[in-house]
This record gives sequence, structure tokens and C-alpha cells, in this order.
Amino acid sequence: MYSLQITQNFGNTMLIIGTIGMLFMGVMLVMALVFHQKRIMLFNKMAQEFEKEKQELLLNSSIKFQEEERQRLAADLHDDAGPLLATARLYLNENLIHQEPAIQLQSILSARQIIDDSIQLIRNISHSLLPPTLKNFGLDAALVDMFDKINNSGTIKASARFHNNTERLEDNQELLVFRIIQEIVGNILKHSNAGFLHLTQNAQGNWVYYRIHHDGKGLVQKEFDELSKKTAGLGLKNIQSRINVLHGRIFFEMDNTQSYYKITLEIPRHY
Amino acid sequence: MSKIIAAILKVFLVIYFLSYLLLLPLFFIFKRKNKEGVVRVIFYYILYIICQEFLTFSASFIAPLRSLLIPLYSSNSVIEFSFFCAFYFLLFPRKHKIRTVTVIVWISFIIFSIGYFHLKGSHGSFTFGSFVVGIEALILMLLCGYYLYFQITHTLNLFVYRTFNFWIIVTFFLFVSSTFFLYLMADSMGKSPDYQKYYFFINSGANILKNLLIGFALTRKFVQAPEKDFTRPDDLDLGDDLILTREF
Repeated sequence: MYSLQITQNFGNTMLIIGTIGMLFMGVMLVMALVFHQKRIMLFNKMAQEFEKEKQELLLNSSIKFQEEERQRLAADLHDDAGPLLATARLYLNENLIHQEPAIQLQSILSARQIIDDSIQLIRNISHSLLPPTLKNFGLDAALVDMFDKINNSGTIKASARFHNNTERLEDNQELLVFRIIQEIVGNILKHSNAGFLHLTQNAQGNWVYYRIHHDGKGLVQKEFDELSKKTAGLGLKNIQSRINVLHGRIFFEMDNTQSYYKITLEIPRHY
Repeated sequence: MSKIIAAILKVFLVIYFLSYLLLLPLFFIFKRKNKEGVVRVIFYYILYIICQEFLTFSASFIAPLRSLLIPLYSSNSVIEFSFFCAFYFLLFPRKHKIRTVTVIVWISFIIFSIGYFHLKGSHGSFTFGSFVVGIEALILMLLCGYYLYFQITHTLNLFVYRTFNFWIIVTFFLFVSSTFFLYLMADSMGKSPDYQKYYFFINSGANILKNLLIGFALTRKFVQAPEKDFTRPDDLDLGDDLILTREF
């Protein structure tokens, strides 16, 4: 009887302690989750503010880039096209009618040569703004053309291959992708000292992938992220802002063999 | 002194029954137009617990119905678990693996419970089913724990404690936590007068807490758990290796 009483008392104590303990544990767990989530939300808010600052930086760099483009264009027109046309005007002045026919012919030929040079110059400026191959034949043709030109220079072996380009991107998307690849390739040619450069394109569902391989000195993602945050890396910031416009992603990595650097662009067709 | 205790008991009972009666008006005020499956499941669960409480209360006071008490208690764990599984299943996005796990766990639990009660019944010792309730509580706690973990790893841009789903999960989690030992000891200590006293307070208290939490959940907004983010395949092969080997 006594032992039964002890057992019952023990059971009752167990019941009370167990119930209070379990309830306490449950409440603590829920509170821990709520506080943890609050901390995460705070962190996310900070990250959003950081992202906002980054976007502002990208916007500023984009504006700066546009200004630099305009200045370059103005300089090209003012320093090259302007003097050429002024020289042509000098050859074709009103005194020309009083000159000997041989001198007249010489002046006209010289002026024609200068006008031809001006036409070529303006064509070059125009091509640098919007490549005609891109406009007329699309991104694949423009990139193949660009890589062929690099290859023909003889300093670097360059090639491009498109695996799945049956469904083209929108025109504005193609232009942005072209600009990004142009910037990346420009950087590789300028800084990497690479011996070969290879571009591959493929598509999978809604995503189109472009990957550039090269064997020079390249960047990995961490370096890209750090450089694109600095005020100096204008080209990299432009890459990032164009990627943002496309709602795409870019990855700077080393190949599995650790011999090549690869830059992968992931562009959604629709977003 | 006994008058004070009697008065406290009365107040306690009033709160207990009011907490049940509060649920339906709250549902009709806040969730009447909500057609989400998850919310509908909770509506049917509210109807079930009200009916169950009414039947249990009637069976306790009407002698011919008293024999129904044990089957009512025993079947409660299975039905409650089924409601929870339905709610849990609908809570997650389509194609999420936990949905399949929920279905498997539910079927296994049903088979186990039927087998357990059939075995006990064939031995002539029809019981409350502490073992079944214990298993149910452990599974419920694990599933609730997984959902809370899911909330941490898939944080929405919304505080979790502002959502209907979170509070329903918390309700089940706290209810099974607070009644875990009570139901686990029901078979062995059910006839002890002390246990019956504790049973009344703990069970009623846990039910009041459950009803208040469900009531609070009804005032919150339902938010579907987020789909998994698109992840980039690690070994994305664009056919470069083939070209590199061939040409370079």
C-alpha cells in the first residue's frame, strides 16, 4: 500500500514536472524561432539597403559610362572628322576656279580622298555604336564576326560556337548581351595575356547560357564582386548593371581542371 | 475556502466552454471568404473538436452513453492526427517531398493505430491508448519541428508570427507538448483520483490554450510556404569540354 502511494506520488510529480517542462520547452522553441527570424529579417533589411546602395552606384556608373561614351564620340567627331572635313573644305575653296586645271584636278582628288576617309571614319564610329552584323543578322553572327576578327589579328586564338540558338533573344536583350561579352572580351584582351579565347552558347528551358573560356589571368567571383564595388571598376559595373537589366546572372569561376578561367552568363528569355 | 475554489472552477469551466464557442464566430468573421484548402481543413477541425467536446461532455453525464467515453478518447488521436496531416500536406508547395512523407506517415499511423486497438480489443482490454497517443505526439512534434525549421531556411519577407499557418503549427506543437505526459500516463494511472484531478486541469488548460491559439490564428493571414528558389546546376555543361579537346 505504502509503495503504491510512493509510485502514485512519483507519477504525479513526473506528470507535473513533465507537463511544465514540455510546455516550457515548446514555448522556448517557438520564441527562439521568432527571435531568430527577427534577426534574419533585420539582416535582410540591411542587405536590401546595401543592395539599394549598390544599385545607386551602378546607376551612377552607368550614367558616367554614357557620359564617357558621349565624350569619346564628341572627341572622335571633333578631333578626327572635323579636321578632315575642314581640310576638304580648304581644298574646295572659292579660289579653286581661278587655279590651273591640273591643280584643280589635284585639289578635287585630294578632297575626294579626305571625304572618303571621313566616310570611313564615320562608318567606324557608327559600327562601334551598333555593329551592323548585330542589327542585320543577330547576336550569333555578330559574336562570331567579333571572334573571327580577334582570331585574324593573330595575337590570340579565338573561336565561338552556338549550340542551341533556334529561339533568339529579343533585340534589346541581344544588344545588352553583346555589350557584356564585348566588355568581357575587351578586358581579357587587355589584362589577361590569354593565348586562347572560346565562347560557347547553349540554352535550357527559359535560360540562355553564354560561357567564355580563356587561359590567361582571370577573375573569380569574389574578385569580381570586390572590383565591381570599387569606384574604379567602371567596365565591371557596366557588366553588372546590364546583367541586372536582363535579370540575369554572371559567374566568374575557374575550370574544374584549374587550367582555364570561365565566365558564365545566364540570361532568362522571359522574366 | 471551498467556495472560492468552487468559484474558480466555475470560471475555469466557463472559459473552457467559451473558448470552444469563440472559434466559429471568429472563423466566420475572419476566414469566411477564404477558399484555401488549409483554412477549410481548420474549419472542419473546429467543427470536429466542438462536436467531440459535446459528445464527451454528454457521455460523462448521461449514464447509458458512458461506455462511449473510451472509444471517443481513443479515436480522437487518430482523427486529430488525420486533420493535422491534411493541414500539413496542404501547407507545403506542390512537389515538395514532405507531402509524400506526410501521406506515408499518416497511412502508417492509421494502420498502426487500428492494429494496436484491434490487438488490445481482442485481449478484452480496451484502453485509452497511451502508446498510440505518445507516438502521435512524437510524430506531431517532429512534423511541427520540421515546419519551424522550414520557416527558418525559407524566410519570407514577412514575420512568421503574422501568419495563420505559423500559429496553427504552434497550436498543435504546444498542445501535444503540454498533454504529452498526461496522455502517456493515462493507461497506467487513469484510475488514480489524483491523476483524474490533474487530468481535468491539464487537459482543460491545454484545450483552452489550443482554442485561444486557433482563435488568434484565425485573425492572421494565411501565407503559402514559398517554392524552392531556382538553383543553378553545379555541373552546367554547355558542351565546352568537347570543343576545347577538339580545337585546343
